[in-house]
Amino acid sequence: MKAPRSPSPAPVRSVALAVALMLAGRVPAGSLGRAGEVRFDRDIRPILAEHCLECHGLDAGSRQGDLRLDTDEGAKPQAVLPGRPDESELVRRILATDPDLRMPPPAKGPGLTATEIDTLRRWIAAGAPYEGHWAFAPIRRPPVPATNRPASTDIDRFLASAREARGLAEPPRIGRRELIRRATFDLTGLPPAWEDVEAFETDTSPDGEAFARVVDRLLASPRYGERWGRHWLDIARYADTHGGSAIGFTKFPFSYTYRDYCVRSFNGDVPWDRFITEQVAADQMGLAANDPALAGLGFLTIGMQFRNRHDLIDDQIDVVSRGLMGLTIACARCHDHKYDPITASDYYALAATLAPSQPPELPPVIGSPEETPALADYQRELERRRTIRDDMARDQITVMQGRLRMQVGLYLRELAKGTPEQDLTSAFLSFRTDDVRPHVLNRWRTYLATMPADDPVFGPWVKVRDLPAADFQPRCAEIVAALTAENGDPTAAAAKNGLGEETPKWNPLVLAALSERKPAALADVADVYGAVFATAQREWLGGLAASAEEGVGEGIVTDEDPRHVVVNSPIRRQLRHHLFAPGTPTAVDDTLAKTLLNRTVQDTLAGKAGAIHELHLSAPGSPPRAMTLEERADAPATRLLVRGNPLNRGPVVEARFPVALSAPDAAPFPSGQRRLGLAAALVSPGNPLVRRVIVNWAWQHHFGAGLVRTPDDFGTRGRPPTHPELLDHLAETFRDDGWSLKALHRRIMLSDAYRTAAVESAVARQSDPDDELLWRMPRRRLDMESMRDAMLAVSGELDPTPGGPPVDLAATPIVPRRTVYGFVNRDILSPLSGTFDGANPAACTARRPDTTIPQQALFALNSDFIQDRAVAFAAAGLQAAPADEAGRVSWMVRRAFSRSPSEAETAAAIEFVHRQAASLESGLAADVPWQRLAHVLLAANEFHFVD
Amino acid sequence: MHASRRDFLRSSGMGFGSLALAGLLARDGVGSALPTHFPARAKRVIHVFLNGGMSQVDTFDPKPELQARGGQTLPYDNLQTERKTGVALPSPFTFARHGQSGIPISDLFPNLARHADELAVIRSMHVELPNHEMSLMLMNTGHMRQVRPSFGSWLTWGMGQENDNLPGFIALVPGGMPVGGAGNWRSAFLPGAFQGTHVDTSKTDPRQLIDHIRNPRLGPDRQQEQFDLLRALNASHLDQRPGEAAIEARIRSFELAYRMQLEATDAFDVRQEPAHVLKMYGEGPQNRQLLMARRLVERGVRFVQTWHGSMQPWDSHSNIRDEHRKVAGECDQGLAALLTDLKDRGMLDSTLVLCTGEFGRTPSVEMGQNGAGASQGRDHNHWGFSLWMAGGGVKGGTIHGATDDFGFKAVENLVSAHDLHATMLHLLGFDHTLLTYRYAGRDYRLTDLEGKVVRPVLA
Repeated sequence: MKAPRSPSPAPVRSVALAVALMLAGRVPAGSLGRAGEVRFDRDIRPILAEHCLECHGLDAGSRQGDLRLDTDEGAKPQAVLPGRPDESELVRRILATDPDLRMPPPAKGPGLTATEIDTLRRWIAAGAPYEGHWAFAPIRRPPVPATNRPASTDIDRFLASAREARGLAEPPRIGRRELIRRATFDLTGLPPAWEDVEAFETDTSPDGEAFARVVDRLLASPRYGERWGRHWLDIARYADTHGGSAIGFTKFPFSYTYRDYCVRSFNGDVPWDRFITEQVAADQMGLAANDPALAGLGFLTIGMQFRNRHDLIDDQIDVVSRGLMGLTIACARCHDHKYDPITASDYYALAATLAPSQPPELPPVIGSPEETPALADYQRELERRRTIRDDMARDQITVMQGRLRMQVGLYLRELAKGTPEQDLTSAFLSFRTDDVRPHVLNRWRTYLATMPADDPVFGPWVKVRDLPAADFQPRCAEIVAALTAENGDPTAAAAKNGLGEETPKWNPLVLAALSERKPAALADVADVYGAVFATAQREWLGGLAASAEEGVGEGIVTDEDPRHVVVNSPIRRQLRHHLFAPGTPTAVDDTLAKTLLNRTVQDTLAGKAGAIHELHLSAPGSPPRAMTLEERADAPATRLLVRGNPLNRGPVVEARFPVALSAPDAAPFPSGQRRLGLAAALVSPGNPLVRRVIVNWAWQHHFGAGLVRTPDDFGTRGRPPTHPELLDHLAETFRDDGWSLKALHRRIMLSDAYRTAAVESAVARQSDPDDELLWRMPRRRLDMESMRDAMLAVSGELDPTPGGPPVDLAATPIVPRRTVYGFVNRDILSPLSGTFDGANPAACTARRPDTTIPQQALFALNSDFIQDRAVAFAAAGLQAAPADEAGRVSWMVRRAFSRSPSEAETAAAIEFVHRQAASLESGLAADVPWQRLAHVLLAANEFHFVD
Repeated sequence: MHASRRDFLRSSGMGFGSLALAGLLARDGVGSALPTHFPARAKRVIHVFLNGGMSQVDTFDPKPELQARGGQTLPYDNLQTERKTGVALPSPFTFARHGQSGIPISDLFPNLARHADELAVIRSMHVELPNHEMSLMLMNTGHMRQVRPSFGSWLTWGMGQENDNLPGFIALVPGGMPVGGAGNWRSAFLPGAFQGTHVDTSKTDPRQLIDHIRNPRLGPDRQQEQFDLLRALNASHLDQRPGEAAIEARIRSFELAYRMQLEATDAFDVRQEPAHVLKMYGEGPQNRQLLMARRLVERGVRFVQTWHGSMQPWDSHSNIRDEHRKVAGECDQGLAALLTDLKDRGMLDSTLVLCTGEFGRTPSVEMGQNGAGASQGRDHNHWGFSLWMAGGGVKGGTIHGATDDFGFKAVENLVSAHDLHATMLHLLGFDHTLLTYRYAGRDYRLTDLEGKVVRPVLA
């Protein structure tokens, strides 16, 4: 292993990757040869996607040699000559030995494998037919295949006929004891009670009937929603903190309402289409203002709180597209998708759908909190803290708005320098009040770019701004003189300083200042404007103060007072127009002004907002609130950002669904209800992805692997389904069942397939190394939550209280709640989660990693957690069988493993207890040997692996 | 049976532990560490992070013009930093040329200066923004804003494990967390086993340094009996389920863990070092953790990152002379000792040592807030800063790149964080464009679409 691989090491990395994710690193084309025929979708597209489409795909921006291989028209005849593989340029270039000719270029990676090349040739020989990608094709109800093999359900007929075709034997099935343990962990994340095991084992009804009762009982248990709700929280990248570096420790006060919403929705079997709609657009469904379903919007709002707005929207697009549709649309932020039919326009159409929505300042209370003194205290304190915050914000916003009007010169000078446009979203927060605010600079830039040349104030600016540097001074002077002449008699202009209707064509104050200054460069002109505007603003403020004084006491406001003639003159108004009129750069609204405050002020203000946040978080009376969104109906247009660059704005994009998934005549989403439009498109009967993805997701959690092994990539680089017809069958019956997940569980769990034994078979492994045909159940270890919960259940300590604010799982003494209710820090994984492959809360996780590392074993050997559970477990055993050592062992083994111990095991356990007792360290309780036995049971493989 | 190593790894995941399992197999002659793209010059990394930002004009980038123009306004128009800065602040430190190469180093690092000929100093580093958090993320993960795996995670994922009994990536921080916390050593979309293991080196008892490394409730003999019972139970469980790789993997991981209880604590126990070594490194958490870093890489830990301390100790806003004197004084002896020690053990050739902050500092003084006068400190400066590398594959006695006359902005042979990462990966045997990981449908790499190897610093 010392020498690098030749010719290129790249495959080593990709194998490591696939292994790491347990995605099984085979190139998808490996399934060929068995079936004999070559199918574009299954066999060819993955090869093209892997090796060719990065440079010869949909993305015109990165396309090389004007060649496209993802479409029939693009490939033929330049690269592909149907029926003539050896004359086809595609094959020739792949086989070329000249490195300059070979495709893919050697620098891009290893070439194709012999099998892949053979597959391509056979495809071309067969006429090189193209077909659409399976995942985008409509779901059709496939016929249920006939099979000679025993098969209880339609699901089994699909599976058995596939095994039959491949000559694989039907797998052995498990008995009732293993089945109830499997089903109970599967649906509730907990071990079965021994009484339930016994009852099922001794139930005299036929297997199917008896097991159906078990499944129904488990589905009706509130523990079911805690288990499957947690699965969904992986998809929803659930965390209780904002995430991100500087702000990583900020907690969400109300993330738990989304978590509880998920648990509740699974328990209530809310139809999946409604579940999706609530999560995307609950605020637009006409629900009551306190409807608990509003909390569903947490799906969009509990993600990482990026400071950069584009990143925030990107995260929402990712969770919607990858989480709900198995599509990696986020790639299209910078360019058309290289592999899937998703364009950058599609991406920005989704951005346009989400961008106008923001969380309200105060999220709505859900349900009807009981009127308690604590609630009243909270409400009073909330009002107080909001007033403090709002008062300070209002003052500072006014200060900022006033300052911007005094700082015109600062911005014009910056423009005169030719300072390039800056990306506003990644601009950092300045400590300085005299800094140029990039946002305001942009407003000035845009404002002046479209300024008409005959504007009385900025006309001179427009006329001189492009003068060449060499003779700026004389030519500027000429222009100023000419404009002054156009204004006519200066004394007449002076007369017009009165309140008359006439205004001069060009603002005489600007012209006078320019002729006095004799600018040698545009920067000087900027100074002149700055001074003129500052004076005008100063006069105005003085006038305001004076006229306000006149309103005091007996005085009468006299707007016609001669002292105000100058301030009220049309010449001054011309200037003030550019400072105050809507749409002018300095007429910034409060929201924007707030973002411009200098960092010291912002920090103080953030402290006041933080006090409100803190109150939500920790006041005993703080009622649950939904993390909703509000959509502006008057949102500014969204533009496509070329290569994702906020400074490189392309055409305006309408809010709509990706074209490849839309009907040809699909309308854009309506303003103010864009997310509702998105939800409708997601759950529309014509969208094949959402149902395929959800039934695959359920299948994956029941069987350890999905029918599509890449659950969050149904695109062309994902793996095609092992049983495409079964996938569609499930998607169709799912709709027949009213999008009921519980009905789907029943269908899956009552199949023979669900009873498949987890038994290795050398013969089957040889012919189907990845178990695609389900000749065995994969061996599954308890995940992080099940492991912790099962230990608490077995020790008798588990507290079944549902919901509420997150609890500290590391607290001492232990908070024995279910793990789903534990606090999740997005940035700092809890030791438990980091060690036991918890979901990565930074982004949508469709499949957790599955590692076996010594830290897990150290936890099992030495942690206080497991030893404390063992103490309680041993005590429970003593209580159940006080007089009888064998009885106590038996009780404990049944509780931990759902089976009775053998005589030899009982004897070994008792001998261990005696041996420990004989040499027990001094000062320890007499029951410690039993606790150490309990510890062994909790650490044993039989506890951690489900059959 | 599907007994190939790859199948075995596949079925047991690919965390550091299963790499460790692979290591067990290696003893059976199957192979251990993963192959690199080309032979690695460096096999491990010690990354000394001067969090807060080291001032270049006070350490490795002397500027006579700055000394001459003290108190004057520098001719910059638009070099914005975090706070308002004022006139030129000459360095209060004295520079001298050191070694045969004559690399100038200030009197902040009198001990390290003796190793001048081992150092490659890059004077033209630059990052994007003068903010700690974002620059830390950029320097550690290659992205300012988005959640990406850190350098150490990429490396341990790509290169695999040399020691079965220790994590491959360890972050040493005395007393607290740097800005950005664990985000600096996160594995992001790489499996959690590749995230850095955080160790608080302000604790001196090695048993406190790794979670669950010892069992305080029972003695070794009693634990042995308990382990024997567990073994027996697991063996009979496996007997009834023959050929189950996942079950076998868990059994093996227990055997490893059982042994780690002793070996891992040793690695962190600097008290086991002979007196002359302890003396060479000196006192204090910085020096002690540099020695710990040496013990760790010696045992095959792939990537050790040492942080100067909680938050941002090098962030000398208000008084550069006193504050930089203090922090440099805390690590100078240890840094010199580390290079000496690695060399003495023949390990310097195969160990890459990198010493850097997340950015540099302004040559001008920082102005106080709200109109307060100038301080004697320096603001953040992302426009240009210095770092040094030494060891595996690095051309010692080199200076690469330059800042302008006052040391504000990098102007020659600019080196970005991506270039730095590309260069480090190159030294470690990887082509940074080929070290990719497919996640969410995209092949990610540490350097994204950028990065070029800084060849002049390569030996």
